[in-house]
Amino acid sequence: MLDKLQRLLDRINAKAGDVGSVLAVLFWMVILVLALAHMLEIT
Amino acid sequence: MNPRKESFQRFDRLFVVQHMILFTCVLLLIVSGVPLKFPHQAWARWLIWAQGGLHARALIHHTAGHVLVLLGVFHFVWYVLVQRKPPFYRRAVMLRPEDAQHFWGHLLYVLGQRKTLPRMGRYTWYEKFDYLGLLWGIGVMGVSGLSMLYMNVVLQWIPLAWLQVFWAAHSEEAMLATLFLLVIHMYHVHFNPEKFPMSLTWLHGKLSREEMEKYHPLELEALEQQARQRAKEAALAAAPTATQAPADAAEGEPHAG
Repeated sequence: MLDKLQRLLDRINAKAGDVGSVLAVLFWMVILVLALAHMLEIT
Repeated sequence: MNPRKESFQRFDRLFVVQHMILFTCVLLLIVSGVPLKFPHQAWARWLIWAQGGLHARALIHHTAGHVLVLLGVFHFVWYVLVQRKPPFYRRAVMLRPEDAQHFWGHLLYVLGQRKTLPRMGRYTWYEKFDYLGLLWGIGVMGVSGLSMLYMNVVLQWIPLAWLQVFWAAHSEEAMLATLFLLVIHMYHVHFNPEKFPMSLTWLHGKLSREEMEKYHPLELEALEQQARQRAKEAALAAAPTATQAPADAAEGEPHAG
């Protein structure tokens, strides 16, 4: 079961590993914007 | 064996289960605790409503907190007093001077000023940082949280002002831990292009040979050295049996005949 899941994850990683970097940047941007909005009391 | 498929068991089942309990508790604590820090925000009010209201939120938070403290105590007692093995025992996770060198080498590597990562052992500088930060966090959150929860008892020994210090520590440490998990840990286990969409180490406790060669080459060398040593000892143990075999066979021949 775990082997099958690992193979699936390996296939996704081989095809779209770099998507992680894009998502990470977007994720960090969201956190940064939320933090700035909170600090500036925009929300 | 295909080297890509070869894996190394770094964390045993007990450790994996402890990590599962840990992240379940931490997620519950974040979801039930962070809304209290932003009571005027709509999302915070919605989150409290989604948990069944303030009473249910408190129940979730206090239960998860108690389980986390018990887990921390068990972890310490088991590894330090009973098993007497790393991560605690013999200070395997303590920061050492070479960790500063590894940190600098790692920084140069990610900035493209160095072609390879520094050669690190069983615990890398950032794993030690992560682990010791977690221990510190459980200590601070446990002491401050339990003191506030059982204030009627605690106030018999400490002044009221201490509880205000505990409240501030609990609140700020919670934000620090939440942001660390969201910004750094999420990247390391999900968004890192080598791991995306997810590392399965949290389920089986293993690392691939590729990962060992890159991040823990000294540990890999030690493991392979141990394997060679064991193979040599096994061969030595088998050798007398092999020389004994013809004699045994010779002795056995008359019976066989």
